[in-house]
Amino acid sequence: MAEIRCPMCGKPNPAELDVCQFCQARLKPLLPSSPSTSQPIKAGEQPVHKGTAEFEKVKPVDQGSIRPGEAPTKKNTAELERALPSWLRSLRGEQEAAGSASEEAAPSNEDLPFDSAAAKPPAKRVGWLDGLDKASKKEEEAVPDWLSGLRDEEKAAEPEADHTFEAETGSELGSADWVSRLDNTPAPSTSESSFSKPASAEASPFTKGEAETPSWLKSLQPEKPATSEPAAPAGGEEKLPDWDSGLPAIPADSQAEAESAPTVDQPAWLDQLQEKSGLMETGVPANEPAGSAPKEELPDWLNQLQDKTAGTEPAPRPGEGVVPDAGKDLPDWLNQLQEKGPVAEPVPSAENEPAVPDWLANFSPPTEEPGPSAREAVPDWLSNLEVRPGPGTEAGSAFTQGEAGAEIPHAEELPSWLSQLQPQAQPGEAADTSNATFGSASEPSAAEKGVGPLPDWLAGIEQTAPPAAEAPAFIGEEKANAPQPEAINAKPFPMETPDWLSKLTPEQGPEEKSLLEEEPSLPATELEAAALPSWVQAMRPVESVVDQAKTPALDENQVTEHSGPLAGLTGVLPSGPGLGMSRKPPAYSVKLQVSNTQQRYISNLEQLVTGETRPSAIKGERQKVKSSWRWLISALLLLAVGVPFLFPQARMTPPTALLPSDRGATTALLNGLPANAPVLIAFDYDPALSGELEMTAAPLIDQLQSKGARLTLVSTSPTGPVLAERFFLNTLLVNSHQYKSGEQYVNLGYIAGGPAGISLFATEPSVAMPVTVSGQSAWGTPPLQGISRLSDFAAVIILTGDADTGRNWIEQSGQYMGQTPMVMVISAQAEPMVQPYFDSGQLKGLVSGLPDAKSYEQSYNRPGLANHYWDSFSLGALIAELIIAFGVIWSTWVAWRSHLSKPKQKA
Amino acid sequence: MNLKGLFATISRSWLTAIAIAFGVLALIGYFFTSTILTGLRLLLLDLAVILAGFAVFVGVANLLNVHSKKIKRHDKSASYSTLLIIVLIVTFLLGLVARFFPAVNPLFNGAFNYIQLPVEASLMAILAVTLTYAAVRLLRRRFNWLSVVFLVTALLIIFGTVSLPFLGEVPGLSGLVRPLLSQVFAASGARGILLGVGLGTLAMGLRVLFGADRPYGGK
Repeated sequence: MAEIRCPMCGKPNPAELDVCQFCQARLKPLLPSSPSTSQPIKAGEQPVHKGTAEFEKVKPVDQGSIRPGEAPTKKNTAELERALPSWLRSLRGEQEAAGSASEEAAPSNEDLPFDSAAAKPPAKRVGWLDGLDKASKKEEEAVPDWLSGLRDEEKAAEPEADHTFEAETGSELGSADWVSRLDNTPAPSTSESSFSKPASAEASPFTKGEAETPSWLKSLQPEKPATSEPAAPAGGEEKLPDWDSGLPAIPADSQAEAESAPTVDQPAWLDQLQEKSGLMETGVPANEPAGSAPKEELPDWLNQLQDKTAGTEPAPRPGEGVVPDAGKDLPDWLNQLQEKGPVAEPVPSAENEPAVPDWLANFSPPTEEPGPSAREAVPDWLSNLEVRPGPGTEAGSAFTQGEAGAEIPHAEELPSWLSQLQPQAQPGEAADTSNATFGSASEPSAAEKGVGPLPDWLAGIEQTAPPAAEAPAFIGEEKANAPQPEAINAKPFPMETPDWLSKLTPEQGPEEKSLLEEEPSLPATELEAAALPSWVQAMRPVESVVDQAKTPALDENQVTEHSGPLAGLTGVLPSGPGLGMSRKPPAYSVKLQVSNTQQRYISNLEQLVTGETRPSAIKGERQKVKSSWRWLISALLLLAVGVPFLFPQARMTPPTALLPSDRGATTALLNGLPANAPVLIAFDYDPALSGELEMTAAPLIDQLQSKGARLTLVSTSPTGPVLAERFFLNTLLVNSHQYKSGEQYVNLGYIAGGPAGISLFATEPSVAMPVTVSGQSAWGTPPLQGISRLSDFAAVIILTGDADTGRNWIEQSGQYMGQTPMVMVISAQAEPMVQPYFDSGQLKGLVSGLPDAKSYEQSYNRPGLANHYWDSFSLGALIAELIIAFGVIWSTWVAWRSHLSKPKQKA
Repeated sequence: MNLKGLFATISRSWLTAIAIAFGVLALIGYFFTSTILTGLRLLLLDLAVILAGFAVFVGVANLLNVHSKKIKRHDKSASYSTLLIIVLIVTFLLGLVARFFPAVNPLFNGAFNYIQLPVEASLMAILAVTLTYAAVRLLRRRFNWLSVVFLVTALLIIFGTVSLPFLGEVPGLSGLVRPLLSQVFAASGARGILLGVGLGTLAMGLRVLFGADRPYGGK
């Protein structure tokens, strides 16, 4: 099934649809080609009545570019005339002029609206219609060959076509190339040439009644052979359908006549068509056979036309490389048209067959009497076409009038689309003009100055989209070749003028050509990618719509859409709020982005969390110690201890009456030792306690020395041997005996191992301590004579300040002592711990601290250090006792006060 | 099981065996009189004494190592460590030299007599001031019956030990209270402590002999 691709969304739609089923855009342009059934125009079809109300929506050129959202500006209807197609304006002008100059014989060619050789200057090419030329040129493959051949003939005949007519009428008129080609036919019956259809000739809309035909259109009837106006439906010469391209070109003389003798009734659009057809035929020889297309592609009647006409041939439609044949198979009426002169360019329309607008169907072209032969050959429907040469006329329809007076073929002979075409086709108009006029549906009639409200017949033209398979009939080569923007409304005569059409400025003028020229610069990939039909592309308002020169301020601020269905339009709202152009959304990294500050926060939080499980070190309370108290206590104690030494003679403390701890056992024991007895003395105290122990041990050692005992010194402390030496040298009472080492005493030194050493020494003293501190052999010396075991000693005296040392001596050497008594001289601090050993009988004597020493000295009546330290010791102890007592009392009082104050605070 | 673990296991087992063996031998020597056992015990004791003496030397070396590291790390007490090492070396050298050169003995003795001994004696004297001050503040920090009893006992002992200037002993306090406190209450407490120590020592020895405790290393 044939499909039509929507110009807006680009989606395929069935061919029978007029409106896109996806986006509701019109699929078939309102061209005078086919009715809403979108069927190709067939000869003999009844023309479809089109309302002209839609033309009322066009806006004048003076208003400038219409911006979206703007309120419509009320304008004088006279200004709207610019919005009308040129051919229509020309018709109006002819109407006005008809009153003053009723007799205005327009040459056949000149009257033809599509006469490319018309004297009137080519109207300004509306930019929005320029695309028609290009589209038509480009998409020649979509145009039937027979139709494209007609265009070629027209181009060959007409050097330049009037594109303005095409711009005015837009796609409403559809392809106007064939119309322009019709202008080239020598026959004045422009109706025949203009209504050359691929199919059999159908009833011409002109046959419906001349009464309905406006006067201006009547004037288009081919009366003169020389002036054969190609009956253009409403478009310029450039908008002639492709089938018309095969028509034989109107001879140049006929074109010249048409141009030189402009008829009053010849619409401007027809003139434009002529001009455009002339442009489009540039490069194509005038004498080119009308049908360059293969004859096998053209219908017979069209081929006849080609054969008959030997003159100028309509220029090939843009985009179509097919030139119709010489018209051998063309009907007579068409041949007559070719003889007359350049055929107006077929109105470039969309690929679909151009729809015959209503306005074109309602009037009959001014009849120009064609040549005798032409008149005979021109069908009635074509002969009824009014040839109205004029400056304002533009080829707006696909009609080309043949010789003047050519009858418009009957309705049954012409296809419906052709029957609706206007008969005012100026012969000789360039196909470019027609293509430019009718090629782009978006080229609004705003290019023209507003001439007032549109007539009903002009507004009521509905756009019929040609079949998708068919190439646009009136698209020039330029436009066909040029890449066309997408989504163009292919309405030659839209019932409802789209917004884009209303925004366009009517006066494009020289910009149209520039725009046309610029269009080829567009990348061809756009059109190919969109696969739009050529007639849609021709109507694309890419550059022709935008009046960049006139409205620079607007363009600066507005974005011109370059893609999509709204390509070429300015002021298009962005696709999204705040978005001017769609773009690829930014790619956001999946990875979490953490800043340095957040990293610090994370680390801090982690430390806090982990610190919860970690036990915190308890800070010890540091009590602030009052140093004054310590200084005071120190001072008092120093004073108490120092004063007796300042007064040594004074005896403040009476002698003690107390008994020693052992109750005189030590004294008795030592008194019972024989003279020169070997005594083992162990110096196992620290230097810190040397003052107390030396003071305490001095009376005993003195007593032993007085007995001449042989003393053996040993120590389980590393400092013991040195202390022992010092004791015998510096201790009061001891040093008086002047014992010498190696003679009276021997110092065995340090026994290592603690209890093990004691045990070893106790077991084998000679093995444990073989030498003295000086390195001499100890067991041969006099003090150790006869001593081999521990039990050989007469007594063992342990000097220690530590209870453990004493206990070790007792425990390790007790079993090896035998009968040898062990006496301990200890510090007062170790007395409680050693007392049990004395009480148990393991110790035979115990002297503890200064008091026992004092007592021992008193019993022995040899005052020593104990007697010397007794006053200091007593005074110091008394001061200490008083300080402690004071402290106790004071602390008790403070605590009691705080205790009393607590209930008050709780209360 | 790797080689290192195997060696560790064997070593621990040997160590335990050796310790038990020699402990049993020493114990048997106490119960049985035998020349061999006595000689073996003496041998072990002699070896122990030698090891103990060498352990002192090792201790001194370790002391040097620790303080040397402090000096290398530039610790806060690095200066004291330096002084300690210097004095240690000097004293060690003096002792070595004094053995072979008696003329150096006064020097070596002077270092002890004029440095070490006064320092230690002074520390002991400061202790008297510290204890007095602590006794004064004891009730301020911990006002309870124990503290009161402690302080009262201390006062009684002191009063009973010394004679008051110009007064002499306090009657009943020096002859009755002090002996009662020191020789009855204190001694009884001491006896209990000593019995506990003795029993604990016995248990410790039996545990070593049985291999329950391995203070020499291993698990």
